Amino acid sequence: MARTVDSSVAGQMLKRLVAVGETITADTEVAMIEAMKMHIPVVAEHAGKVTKWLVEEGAAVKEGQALLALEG
Amino acid sequence: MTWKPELDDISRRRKLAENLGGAEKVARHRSNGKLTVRERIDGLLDRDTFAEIGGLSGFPDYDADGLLIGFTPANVVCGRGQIDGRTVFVTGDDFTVRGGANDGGLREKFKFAETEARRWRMPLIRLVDGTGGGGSVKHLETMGRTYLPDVPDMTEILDALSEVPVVALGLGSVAGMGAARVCASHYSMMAKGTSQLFAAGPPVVARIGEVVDKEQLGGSSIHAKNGTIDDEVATEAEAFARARQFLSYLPSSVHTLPPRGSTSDPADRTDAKLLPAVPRDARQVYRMRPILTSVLDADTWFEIGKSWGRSVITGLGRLDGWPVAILASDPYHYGGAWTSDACRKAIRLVDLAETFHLPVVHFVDIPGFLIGTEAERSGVMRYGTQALTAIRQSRVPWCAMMVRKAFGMAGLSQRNGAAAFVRYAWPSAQWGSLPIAGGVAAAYRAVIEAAPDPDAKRAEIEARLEAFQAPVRTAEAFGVEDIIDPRETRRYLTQFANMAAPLRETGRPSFGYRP
Repeated sequence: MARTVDSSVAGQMLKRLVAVGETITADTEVAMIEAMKMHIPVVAEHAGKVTKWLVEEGAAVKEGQALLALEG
Repeated sequence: MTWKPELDDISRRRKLAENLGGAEKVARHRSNGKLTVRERIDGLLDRDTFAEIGGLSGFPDYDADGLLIGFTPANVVCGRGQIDGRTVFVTGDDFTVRGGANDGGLREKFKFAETEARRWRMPLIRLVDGTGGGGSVKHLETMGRTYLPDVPDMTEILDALSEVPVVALGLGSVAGMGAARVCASHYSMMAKGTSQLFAAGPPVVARIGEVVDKEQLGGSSIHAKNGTIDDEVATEAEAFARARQFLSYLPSSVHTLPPRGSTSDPADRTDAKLLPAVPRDARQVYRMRPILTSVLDADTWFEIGKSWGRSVITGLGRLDGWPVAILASDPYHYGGAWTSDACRKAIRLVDLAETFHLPVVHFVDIPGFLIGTEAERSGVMRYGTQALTAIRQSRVPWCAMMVRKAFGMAGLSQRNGAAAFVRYAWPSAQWGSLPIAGGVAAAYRAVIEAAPDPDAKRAEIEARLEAFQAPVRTAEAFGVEDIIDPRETRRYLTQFANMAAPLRETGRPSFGYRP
Protein backbone atom coordinates (compact mmCIF):
# COMPACT_ATOMS: atom_id res chain seq x y z
CA MET A 1 0.00 0.00 0.00
CA ALA A 2 1.41 3.38 -1.02
CA ARG A 3 1.41 6.00 1.71
CA THR A 4 3.09 9.30 2.43
CA VAL A 5 4.67 10.79 5.50
CA ASP A 6 3.24 14.27 5.95
CA SER A 7 4.74 17.22 7.76
CA SER A 8 3.18 17.82 11.16
CA VAL A 9 4.08 21.51 10.98
CA ALA A 10 4.56 24.35 8.53
CA GLY A 11 8.17 25.53 8.32
CA GLN A 12 11.41 25.07 6.45
CA MET A 13 12.74 21.64 5.51
CA LEU A 14 16.17 21.50 7.20
CA LYS A 15 17.30 17.94 6.64
CA ARG A 16 16.20 14.57 5.30
CA LEU A 17 16.93 11.93 7.92
CA VAL A 18 16.19 8.79 5.85
CA ALA A 19 17.20 7.74 2.33
CA VAL A 20 15.27 6.26 -0.58
CA GLY A 21 15.29 2.47 -0.27
CA GLU A 22 15.49 2.57 3.51
CA THR A 23 12.91 0.62 5.51
CA ILE A 24 11.45 2.62 8.36
CA THR A 25 9.17 1.78 11.27
CA ALA A 26 6.26 3.78 12.65
CA ASP A 27 7.87 6.36 14.96
CA THR A 28 11.01 6.82 12.83
CA GLU A 29 12.06 10.48 12.58
CA VAL A 30 12.23 11.04 8.82
CA ALA A 31 12.93 14.77 8.51
CA MET A 32 13.83 17.85 10.51
CA ILE A 33 11.71 20.97 9.99
CA GLU A 34 12.52 24.39 11.39
CA ALA A 35 9.47 26.08 12.89
CA MET A 36 9.04 28.53 15.78
CA LYS A 37 12.89 28.74 15.85
CA MET A 38 13.05 25.08 16.81
CA HIS A 39 14.14 21.95 15.04
CA ILE A 40 11.08 19.76 14.87
CA PRO A 41 11.33 16.13 13.78
CA VAL A 42 8.64 14.66 11.55
CA VAL A 43 7.73 11.22 12.81
CA ALA A 44 6.38 8.49 10.50
CA GLU A 45 2.97 7.14 11.45
CA HIS A 46 3.35 3.93 9.42
CA ALA A 47 6.14 1.48 8.68
CA GLY A 48 7.33 0.99 5.09
CA LYS A 49 10.07 1.38 2.53
CA VAL A 50 10.94 4.90 1.36
CA THR A 51 10.30 5.05 -2.39
CA LYS A 52 10.66 8.76 -3.12
CA TRP A 53 11.43 12.11 -1.52
CA LEU A 54 8.90 14.76 -2.47
CA VAL A 55 10.54 17.83 -0.87
CA GLU A 56 14.03 19.32 -1.24
CA GLU A 57 16.11 20.39 1.73
CA GLY A 58 15.70 24.13 2.28
CA ALA A 59 12.19 24.24 0.83
CA ALA A 60 9.23 25.73 2.64
CA VAL A 61 6.63 23.12 3.62
CA LYS A 62 3.03 23.44 4.65
CA GLU A 63 1.33 21.64 7.50
CA GLY A 64 0.09 18.30 6.18
CA GLN A 65 2.28 18.43 3.07
CA ALA A 66 3.55 15.02 1.90
CA LEU A 67 7.32 14.83 2.42
CA LEU A 68 8.06 11.35 1.16
CA ALA A 69 6.35 8.33 -0.36
CA LEU A 70 6.32 4.95 1.37
CA GLU A 71 5.51 1.48 0.18
CA GLY A 72 4.47 -1.53 2.24
CA MET B 1 -57.33 -17.72 37.96
CA THR B 2 -54.07 -15.83 38.41
CA TRP B 3 -52.46 -13.15 36.21
CA LYS B 4 -50.22 -15.75 34.61
CA PRO B 5 -51.71 -15.40 31.10
CA GLU B 6 -50.87 -11.70 31.07
CA LEU B 7 -47.34 -12.36 32.34
CA ASP B 8 -46.86 -15.02 29.67
CA ASP B 9 -47.98 -12.55 27.05
CA ILE B 10 -45.52 -9.95 28.35
CA SER B 11 -42.69 -12.50 28.34
CA ARG B 12 -43.53 -13.36 24.75
CA ARG B 13 -43.40 -9.69 23.79
CA ARG B 14 -40.01 -9.28 25.43
CA LYS B 15 -38.75 -12.28 23.47
CA LEU B 16 -40.06 -10.74 20.25
CA ALA B 17 -38.29 -7.47 21.10
CA GLU B 18 -35.00 -9.35 21.35
CA ASN B 19 -35.33 -10.13 17.64
CA LEU B 20 -34.77 -6.43 16.97
CA GLY B 21 -35.55 -5.62 13.32
CA GLY B 22 -35.65 -9.30 12.28
CA ALA B 23 -33.05 -11.95 11.48
CA GLU B 24 -32.30 -10.64 8.00
CA LYS B 25 -31.64 -7.06 9.07
CA VAL B 26 -29.61 -8.17 12.08
CA ALA B 27 -27.45 -10.39 9.84
CA ARG B 28 -26.83 -7.53 7.44
CA HIS B 29 -25.98 -5.22 10.37
CA ARG B 30 -23.45 -7.74 11.72
CA SER B 31 -21.93 -8.33 8.30
CA ASN B 32 -21.06 -4.64 8.24
CA GLY B 33 -18.86 -5.22 11.28
CA LYS B 34 -21.29 -3.73 13.79
CA LEU B 35 -22.66 -5.08 17.06
CA THR B 36 -26.40 -4.98 17.74
CA VAL B 37 -27.72 -2.41 20.18
CA ARG B 38 -28.23 -5.04 22.89
CA GLU B 39 -24.73 -6.43 22.40
CA ARG B 40 -23.40 -2.90 22.71
CA ILE B 41 -25.22 -2.27 25.95
CA ASP B 42 -23.93 -5.58 27.36
CA GLY B 43 -20.40 -4.69 26.24
CA LEU B 44 -20.56 -1.31 27.93
CA LEU B 45 -22.11 -2.15 31.29
CA ASP B 46 -20.99 -4.31 34.21
CA ARG B 47 -22.16 -7.88 33.60
CA ASP B 48 -25.92 -8.48 33.97
CA THR B 49 -26.68 -5.01 35.31
CA PHE B 50 -28.85 -3.66 32.48
CA ALA B 51 -32.34 -2.83 33.74
CA GLU B 52 -34.27 -1.92 30.63
CA ILE B 53 -36.98 0.70 30.69
CA GLY B 54 -39.72 0.66 28.07
CA GLY B 55 -38.88 -2.78 26.71
CA LEU B 56 -42.53 -3.30 25.79
CA SER B 57 -42.70 -0.24 23.58
CA GLY B 58 -42.89 -0.69 19.85
CA PHE B 59 -45.20 -1.29 16.94
CA PRO B 60 -47.50 -4.31 17.34
CA ASP B 61 -49.30 -6.17 14.61
CA TYR B 62 -52.71 -7.56 15.68
CA ASP B 63 -55.03 -9.86 13.72
CA ALA B 64 -58.75 -9.28 13.32
CA ASP B 65 -59.40 -10.97 16.69
CA GLY B 66 -56.98 -8.68 18.47
CA LEU B 67 -54.29 -11.34 18.85
CA LEU B 68 -50.68 -10.22 18.62
CA ILE B 69 -49.12 -11.75 15.50
CA GLY B 70 -46.01 -9.63 15.20
CA PHE B 71 -44.05 -6.96 17.03
CA THR B 72 -41.39 -4.49 15.93
CA PRO B 73 -39.65 -3.01 18.97
CA ALA B 74 -38.97 0.69 19.38
CA ASN B 75 -35.58 1.59 17.95
CA VAL B 76 -34.54 3.39 21.11
CA VAL B 77 -33.35 0.86 23.72
CA CYS B 78 -32.69 2.45 27.10
CA GLY B 79 -32.35 1.81 30.78
CA ARG B 80 -30.14 1.92 33.82
CA GLY B 81 -27.08 -0.16 34.47
CA GLN B 82 -23.77 -0.04 36.27
CA ILE B 83 -20.23 0.87 35.33
CA ASP B 84 -17.67 -0.11 37.95
CA GLY B 85 -20.53 -0.38 40.42
CA ARG B 86 -21.89 3.13 39.77
CA THR B 87 -25.32 3.62 38.22
CA VAL B 88 -25.47 5.15 34.74
CA PHE B 89 -28.17 5.64 32.15
CA VAL B 90 -27.66 4.27 28.66
CA THR B 91 -29.63 4.86 25.48
CA GLY B 92 -28.88 3.12 22.20
CA ASP B 93 -30.29 3.40 18.68
CA ASP B 94 -31.31 0.19 16.96
CA PHE B 95 -30.20 0.56 13.36
CA THR B 96 -32.02 -2.63 12.36
CA VAL B 97 -35.35 -0.90 12.94
CA ARG B 98 -36.01 1.91 10.48
CA GLY B 99 -32.30 2.69 10.29
CA GLY B 100 -32.36 3.90 13.87
CA ALA B 101 -34.26 7.03 12.83
CA ASN B 102 -36.04 8.31 15.90
CA ASP B 103 -39.63 7.13 15.74
CA GLY B 104 -42.12 9.92 15.44
CA GLY B 105 -44.68 7.58 17.01
CA LEU B 106 -42.59 7.04 20.13
CA ARG B 107 -41.41 10.56 20.69
CA GLU B 108 -42.05 10.25 24.43
CA LYS B 109 -39.50 7.46 24.72
CA PHE B 110 -36.82 9.51 23.00
CA LYS B 111 -37.50 12.45 25.32
CA PHE B 112 -37.39 10.14 28.33
CA ALA B 113 -34.14 8.47 27.25
CA GLU B 114 -32.41 11.81 26.75
CA THR B 115 -33.56 13.49 29.97
CA GLU B 116 -33.83 10.74 32.59
CA ALA B 117 -30.11 10.72 33.45
CA ARG B 118 -30.22 14.42 34.32
CA ARG B 119 -33.25 13.95 36.60
CA TRP B 120 -31.50 11.21 38.58
CA ARG B 121 -28.07 12.84 38.47
CA MET B 122 -26.29 9.96 36.80
CA PRO B 123 -24.00 9.81 33.74
CA LEU B 124 -25.59 9.41 30.31
CA ILE B 125 -24.06 7.24 27.61
CA ARG B 126 -25.44 7.48 24.09
CA LEU B 127 -24.82 4.73 21.56
CA VAL B 128 -25.67 6.61 18.39
CA ASP B 129 -26.45 4.64 15.25
CA GLY B 130 -29.30 6.52 13.70
CA THR B 131 -29.78 8.28 10.44
CA GLY B 132 -31.32 11.35 11.98
CA GLY B 133 -34.40 12.79 13.59
CA GLY B 134 -36.73 10.61 11.55
CA GLY B 135 -37.68 13.55 9.41
CA SER B 136 -38.38 12.66 5.83
CA VAL B 137 -39.89 14.75 3.09
CA LYS B 138 -42.44 11.96 2.78
CA HIS B 139 -44.03 13.52 5.86
CA LEU B 140 -45.17 16.37 3.65
CA GLU B 141 -47.62 14.01 1.97
CA THR B 142 -48.66 12.03 5.04
CA MET B 143 -49.12 15.12 7.24
CA GLY B 144 -50.30 17.50 4.58
CA ARG B 145 -48.14 20.19 6.16
CA THR B 146 -44.66 20.82 7.47
CA TYR B 147 -43.27 22.17 10.76
CA LEU B 148 -40.55 24.40 12.10
CA PRO B 149 -37.40 22.48 13.10
CA ASP B 150 -37.29 21.53 16.76
CA VAL B 151 -36.25 18.62 18.92
CA PRO B 152 -38.48 17.72 21.85
CA ASP B 153 -36.98 18.89 25.14
CA MET B 154 -33.88 20.23 23.36
CA THR B 155 -33.22 22.79 26.10
CA GLU B 156 -33.20 20.06 28.77
CA ILE B 157 -31.11 17.73 26.61
CA LEU B 158 -28.40 20.38 26.23
CA ASP B 159 -28.64 21.52 29.84
CA ALA B 160 -27.74 17.99 30.91
CA LEU B 161 -24.19 18.94 29.87
CA SER B 162 -24.03 21.29 32.86
CA GLU B 163 -25.39 18.60 35.20
CA VAL B 164 -24.12 15.09 34.39
CA PRO B 165 -21.28 13.51 32.39
CA VAL B 166 -22.40 12.72 28.85
CA VAL B 167 -20.43 10.26 26.72
CA ALA B 168 -21.44 9.73 23.09
CA LEU B 169 -20.31 6.97 20.78
CA GLY B 170 -20.77 7.25 17.02
CA LEU B 171 -21.29 3.65 15.93
CA GLY B 172 -22.74 3.99 12.46
CA SER B 173 -23.46 6.62 9.83
CA VAL B 174 -24.87 9.51 11.80
CA ALA B 175 -26.30 12.62 10.18
CA GLY B 176 -28.24 15.65 11.32
CA MET B 177 -29.62 15.08 14.79
CA GLY B 178 -27.62 11.86 15.16
CA ALA B 179 -24.45 13.82 14.47
CA ALA B 180 -25.46 16.54 16.91
CA ARG B 181 -26.17 13.91 19.59
CA VAL B 182 -22.58 12.67 19.19
CA CYS B 183 -21.15 16.18 19.45
CA ALA B 184 -23.36 17.26 22.38
CA SER B 185 -21.21 15.42 24.89
CA HIS B 186 -18.19 15.75 27.17
CA TYR B 187 -16.43 12.87 25.48
CA SER B 188 -17.13 11.44 22.05
CA MET B 189 -15.65 8.69 19.94
CA MET B 190 -16.22 7.14 16.53
CA ALA B 191 -15.43 3.57 15.52
CA LYS B 192 -13.00 3.55 12.61
CA GLY B 193 -14.41 2.22 9.35
CA THR B 194 -17.95 1.59 10.63
CA SER B 195 -18.90 5.10 11.69
CA GLN B 196 -19.25 8.31 9.72
CA LEU B 197 -20.64 11.67 10.79
CA PHE B 198 -21.99 14.58 8.78
CA ALA B 199 -24.50 17.38 8.65
CA ALA B 200 -25.95 15.62 5.60
CA GLY B 201 -24.92 12.44 3.82
CA PRO B 202 -23.48 11.76 0.35
CA PRO B 203 -26.78 11.86 -1.62
CA VAL B 204 -27.53 15.36 -0.34
CA VAL B 205 -23.93 16.50 -0.80
CA ALA B 206 -24.00 15.24 -4.39
CA ARG B 207 -26.62 17.90 -5.07
CA ILE B 208 -24.03 20.61 -4.41
CA GLY B 209 -21.70 18.93 -6.87
CA GLU B 210 -19.49 16.93 -4.51
CA VAL B 211 -19.54 13.23 -5.30
CA VAL B 212 -17.95 11.42 -2.36
CA ASP B 213 -18.62 8.27 -0.39
CA LYS B 214 -19.55 8.44 3.25
CA GLU B 215 -16.02 7.64 4.48
CA GLN B 216 -14.54 10.46 2.35
CA LEU B 217 -17.22 12.82 3.56
CA GLY B 218 -17.25 12.14 7.29
CA GLY B 219 -15.01 9.24 8.29
CA SER B 220 -13.64 9.05 11.81
CA SER B 221 -10.13 10.16 10.85
CA ILE B 222 -11.52 13.42 9.42
CA HIS B 223 -13.39 14.26 12.60
CA ALA B 224 -10.70 13.06 15.02
CA LYS B 225 -8.31 15.50 13.30
CA ASN B 226 -10.66 18.50 13.27
CA GLY B 227 -11.98 18.08 16.81
CA THR B 228 -15.61 17.35 15.90
CA ILE B 229 -15.15 14.24 18.03
CA ASP B 230 -12.52 13.63 20.67
CA ASP B 231 -11.08 10.29 19.56
CA GLU B 232 -11.39 7.57 16.96
CA VAL B 233 -11.18 3.96 18.13
CA ALA B 234 -10.37 0.76 16.24
CA THR B 235 -13.30 -1.27 17.54
CA GLU B 236 -16.60 -0.82 19.32
CA ALA B 237 -15.17 -2.80 22.25
CA GLU B 238 -12.40 -0.20 22.58
CA ALA B 239 -15.03 2.55 22.64
CA PHE B 240 -16.84 0.83 25.53
CA ALA B 241 -13.61 0.39 27.48
CA ARG B 242 -12.62 4.03 26.96
CA ALA B 243 -16.10 5.26 27.92
CA ARG B 244 -15.84 3.31 31.17
CA GLN B 245 -12.37 4.66 31.91
CA PHE B 246 -13.35 8.26 31.10
CA LEU B 247 -16.27 8.08 33.54
CA SER B 248 -14.04 6.63 36.28
CA TYR B 249 -12.39 10.05 36.75
CA LEU B 250 -15.68 11.95 37.02
CA PRO B 251 -18.41 12.32 39.62
CA SER B 252 -21.89 11.00 38.77
CA SER B 253 -23.07 14.60 38.51
CA VAL B 254 -21.87 18.14 39.19
CA HIS B 255 -23.58 17.81 42.58
CA THR B 256 -20.97 15.38 43.91
CA LEU B 257 -17.16 15.27 43.82
CA PRO B 258 -14.93 13.03 41.71
CA PRO B 259 -14.14 9.86 43.68
CA ARG B 260 -10.60 9.12 44.84
CA GLY B 261 -9.16 5.84 43.60
CA SER B 262 -6.83 3.52 45.42
CA THR B 263 -3.17 3.52 44.44
CA SER B 264 -0.08 1.64 45.49
CA ASP B 265 2.19 4.13 43.73
CA PRO B 266 4.27 5.99 46.38
CA ALA B 267 3.41 9.70 46.50
CA ASP B 268 7.07 10.69 46.78
CA ARG B 269 8.42 8.37 44.07
CA THR B 270 11.30 10.03 42.19
CA ASP B 271 12.41 9.44 38.59
CA ALA B 272 16.02 10.02 37.50
CA LYS B 273 14.94 10.13 33.83
CA LEU B 274 13.33 13.52 34.41
CA LEU B 275 16.63 15.33 35.01
CA PRO B 276 17.80 15.10 31.37
CA ALA B 277 14.24 15.10 29.94
CA VAL B 278 14.46 18.66 28.60
CA PRO B 279 17.47 19.19 26.28
CA ARG B 280 19.84 22.09 27.02
CA ASP B 281 19.80 23.07 23.34
CA ALA B 282 16.76 25.34 23.10
CA ARG B 283 16.15 24.34 19.48
CA GLN B 284 15.86 20.66 20.34
CA VAL B 285 12.47 19.11 21.12
CA TYR B 286 11.65 16.35 23.58
CA ARG B 287 8.75 14.03 24.30
CA MET B 288 6.23 15.28 26.86
CA ARG B 289 4.10 12.15 27.26
CA PRO B 290 6.78 10.10 29.08
CA ILE B 291 7.05 12.99 31.56
CA LEU B 292 3.30 12.82 32.22
CA THR B 293 3.23 9.04 32.67
CA SER B 294 6.26 9.28 34.95
CA VAL B 295 4.71 11.72 37.42
CA LEU B 296 1.08 10.48 37.44
CA ASP B 297 -0.05 7.41 39.39
CA ALA B 298 1.02 4.32 37.43
CA ASP B 299 -1.34 3.38 34.56
CA THR B 300 -3.78 6.24 35.13
CA TRP B 301 -3.00 8.51 32.15
CA PHE B 302 -6.04 8.83 29.86
CA GLU B 303 -5.34 11.02 26.84
CA ILE B 304 -8.22 12.86 25.16
CA GLY B 305 -8.11 14.22 21.61
CA LYS B 306 -4.78 12.75 20.53
CA SER B 307 -5.24 13.52 16.83
CA TRP B 308 -6.20 17.21 16.80
CA GLY B 309 -4.85 20.50 18.19
CA ARG B 310 -1.70 18.49 18.62
CA SER B 311 0.60 21.14 20.09
CA VAL B 312 -1.49 20.74 23.23
CA ILE B 313 -1.89 17.42 25.05
CA THR B 314 -5.05 17.03 27.14
CA GLY B 315 -6.28 14.22 29.34
CA LEU B 316 -7.15 12.88 32.75
CA GLY B 317 -5.03 11.11 35.32
CA ARG B 318 -4.62 10.48 39.01
CA LEU B 319 -2.26 11.85 41.65
CA ASP B 320 -2.19 9.88 44.91
CA GLY B 321 -5.55 8.54 43.80
CA TRP B 322 -7.17 11.95 43.19
CA PRO B 323 -8.51 12.51 39.66
CA VAL B 324 -7.00 15.55 37.92
CA ALA B 325 -7.16 17.16 34.49
CA ILE B 326 -3.88 17.45 32.62
CA LEU B 327 -2.94 20.18 30.16
CA ALA B 328 0.52 19.97 28.58
CA SER B 329 2.49 21.04 25.53
CA ASP B 330 3.85 18.80 22.80
CA PRO B 331 7.02 20.41 21.43
CA TYR B 332 6.85 18.07 18.42
CA HIS B 333 4.07 20.29 17.11
CA TYR B 334 5.19 23.87 16.48
CA GLY B 335 7.44 23.64 19.51
CA GLY B 336 4.31 23.68 21.67
CA ALA B 337 2.99 26.96 20.23
CA TRP B 338 -0.76 27.23 20.58
CA THR B 339 -2.56 27.03 17.25
CA SER B 340 -6.26 27.89 16.85
CA ASP B 341 -7.09 24.20 17.19
CA ALA B 342 -4.84 23.82 20.23
CA CYS B 343 -6.68 26.73 21.87
CA ARG B 344 -10.06 25.10 21.19
CA LYS B 345 -8.78 21.84 22.60
CA ALA B 346 -7.45 23.54 25.74
CA ILE B 347 -10.86 25.21 26.24
CA ARG B 348 -12.59 21.84 26.00
CA LEU B 349 -10.38 20.37 28.71
CA VAL B 350 -10.56 23.37 31.04
CA ASP B 351 -14.36 23.47 30.73
CA LEU B 352 -14.55 19.75 31.51
CA ALA B 353 -12.39 20.28 34.59
CA GLU B 354 -14.48 23.25 35.74
CA THR B 355 -17.77 21.40 35.21
CA PHE B 356 -16.75 18.27 37.12
CA HIS B 357 -14.52 19.80 39.82
CA LEU B 358 -11.20 18.40 38.63
CA PRO B 359 -8.07 20.27 39.73
CA VAL B 360 -5.81 21.10 36.77
CA VAL B 361 -2.10 20.47 36.36
CA HIS B 362 -0.55 22.42 33.49
CA PHE B 363 2.86 21.33 32.18
CA VAL B 364 3.91 24.56 30.49
CA ASP B 365 6.18 24.81 27.44
CA ILE B 366 4.62 27.48 25.28
CA PRO B 367 6.77 29.66 23.00
CA GLY B 368 3.63 31.68 22.24
CA PHE B 369 0.60 31.57 20.05
CA LEU B 370 1.55 30.29 16.62
CA ILE B 371 2.81 33.14 14.43
CA GLY B 372 2.71 33.61 10.67
CA THR B 373 0.19 34.08 7.88
CA GLU B 374 -1.49 30.68 8.27
CA ALA B 375 -1.95 31.27 11.99
CA GLU B 376 -3.50 34.69 11.37
CA ARG B 377 -5.84 33.28 8.74
CA SER B 378 -6.98 30.65 11.22
CA GLY B 379 -7.97 33.36 13.73
CA VAL B 380 -5.45 32.36 16.36
CA MET B 381 -5.89 35.47 18.54
CA ARG B 382 -9.68 35.03 18.72
CA TYR B 383 -9.37 31.41 19.89
CA GLY B 384 -6.36 32.26 22.02
CA THR B 385 -8.27 34.96 23.84
CA GLN B 386 -11.18 32.58 24.30
CA ALA B 387 -8.80 30.02 25.82
CA LEU B 388 -7.31 32.56 28.22
CA THR B 389 -10.84 33.58 29.21
CA ALA B 390 -11.92 29.98 29.82
CA ILE B 391 -8.84 29.44 31.97
CA ARG B 392 -9.43 32.60 34.02
CA GLN B 393 -13.11 31.69 34.48
CA SER B 394 -12.26 28.29 35.92
CA ARG B 395 -12.35 28.19 39.71
CA VAL B 396 -10.81 24.79 40.35
CA PRO B 397 -7.41 24.56 42.08
CA TRP B 398 -4.60 24.83 39.58
CA CYS B 399 -0.92 23.85 39.50
CA ALA B 400 1.54 25.15 36.91
CA MET B 401 4.70 23.15 36.30
CA MET B 402 6.97 25.43 34.26
CA VAL B 403 8.87 22.86 32.21
CA ARG B 404 10.40 25.10 29.59
CA LYS B 405 9.02 28.14 27.76
CA ALA B 406 6.28 30.60 28.66
CA PHE B 407 6.23 33.61 26.37
CA GLY B 408 3.79 36.34 25.48
CA MET B 409 0.03 36.29 25.92
CA ALA B 410 -0.08 32.52 25.44
CA GLY B 411 2.22 32.30 28.47
CA LEU B 412 -0.66 33.64 30.58
CA SER B 413 -2.34 30.27 30.13
CA GLN B 414 -0.08 28.94 32.89
CA ARG B 415 -2.54 29.99 35.58
CA ASN B 416 -6.25 30.36 36.20
CA GLY B 417 -8.05 33.00 38.24
CA ALA B 418 -8.57 30.91 41.39
CA ALA B 419 -6.90 31.80 44.65
CA ALA B 420 -5.78 28.19 44.99
CA PHE B 421 -2.83 28.28 42.63
CA VAL B 422 0.65 26.80 43.02
CA ARG B 423 3.55 27.06 40.62
CA TYR B 424 6.93 25.38 40.33
CA ALA B 425 9.66 25.77 37.74
CA TRP B 426 12.12 23.27 36.44
CA PRO B 427 15.67 24.67 35.99
CA SER B 428 15.10 24.36 32.21
CA ALA B 429 12.36 27.00 32.37
CA GLN B 430 12.61 30.34 30.59
CA TRP B 431 9.99 33.02 30.13
CA GLY B 432 9.26 36.57 29.23
CA SER B 433 7.01 38.80 27.19
CA LEU B 434 9.07 38.07 24.06
CA PRO B 435 11.73 35.46 23.21
CA ILE B 436 15.18 37.08 23.02
CA ALA B 437 15.88 35.96 19.46
CA GLY B 438 12.91 37.77 17.96
CA GLY B 439 12.82 40.60 20.45
CA VAL B 440 16.38 41.87 20.05
CA ALA B 441 16.02 42.65 16.35
CA ALA B 442 12.99 44.81 17.11
CA ALA B 443 14.07 46.52 20.34
CA TYR B 444 17.70 47.26 19.36
CA ARG B 445 17.19 47.92 15.65
CA ALA B 446 18.84 51.34 15.61
CA VAL B 447 21.90 50.12 17.54
CA ILE B 448 22.25 47.03 15.36
CA GLU B 449 21.88 48.95 12.09
CA ALA B 450 24.44 51.55 13.16
CA ALA B 451 27.07 48.93 14.05
CA PRO B 452 29.85 48.18 11.56
CA ASP B 453 28.98 44.46 11.79
CA PRO B 454 25.23 44.29 12.53
CA ASP B 455 25.18 40.48 12.88
CA ALA B 456 27.97 40.53 15.44
CA LYS B 457 26.26 43.36 17.32
CA ARG B 458 22.99 41.42 17.46
CA ALA B 459 24.79 38.31 18.73
CA GLU B 460 26.56 40.37 21.38
CA ILE B 461 23.32 41.87 22.65
CA GLU B 462 21.60 38.48 22.64
CA ALA B 463 24.41 36.95 24.70
CA ARG B 464 24.22 39.84 27.19
CA LEU B 465 20.46 39.41 27.64
CA GLU B 466 20.70 35.62 27.82
CA ALA B 467 22.28 35.92 31.27
CA PHE B 468 19.14 37.57 32.62
CA GLN B 469 16.98 34.75 31.27
CA ALA B 470 17.87 32.19 33.95
CA PRO B 471 14.79 31.41 36.06
CA VAL B 472 16.77 31.89 39.26
CA ARG B 473 16.91 35.62 38.45
CA THR B 474 13.11 35.65 38.47
CA ALA B 475 13.05 33.60 41.69
CA GLU B 476 15.30 36.20 43.39
CA ALA B 477 12.52 38.75 42.85
CA PHE B 478 9.87 36.18 43.91
CA GLY B 479 8.54 36.27 40.35
CA VAL B 480 8.34 32.50 40.53
CA GLU B 481 7.68 30.72 43.80
CA ASP B 482 10.31 28.00 43.53
CA ILE B 483 12.63 26.08 41.25
CA ILE B 484 12.57 22.34 41.89
CA ASP B 485 14.52 19.22 41.03
CA PRO B 486 12.59 17.67 38.11
CA ARG B 487 13.18 14.22 39.54
CA GLU B 488 11.00 15.13 42.53
CA THR B 489 8.10 16.49 40.45
CA ARG B 490 5.67 13.77 41.51
CA ARG B 491 6.07 14.64 45.17
CA TYR B 492 5.07 18.27 44.52
CA LEU B 493 2.12 17.21 42.38
CA THR B 494 0.74 14.67 44.86
CA GLN B 495 1.03 17.35 47.56
CA PHE B 496 -0.95 19.67 45.30
CA ALA B 497 -3.66 17.03 44.70
CA ASN B 498 -4.03 16.43 48.43
CA MET B 499 -4.18 20.17 49.16
CA ALA B 500 -6.70 20.70 46.35
CA ALA B 501 -9.06 17.86 47.33
CA PRO B 502 -10.82 19.63 50.24
CA LEU B 503 -11.14 22.84 48.20
CA ARG B 504 -13.22 21.24 45.44
CA GLU B 505 -16.80 22.46 45.52
CA THR B 506 -19.93 20.87 44.08
CA GLY B 507 -22.48 22.66 41.94
CA ARG B 508 -23.05 23.79 38.39
CA PRO B 509 -20.18 25.37 36.44
CA SER B 510 -19.77 29.13 36.38
CA PHE B 511 -21.13 29.06 32.80
CA GLY B 512 -23.48 26.78 30.85
CA TYR B 513 -21.36 24.06 29.29
CA ARG B 514 -21.01 24.48 25.52
CA PRO B 515 -19.93 21.30 23.72
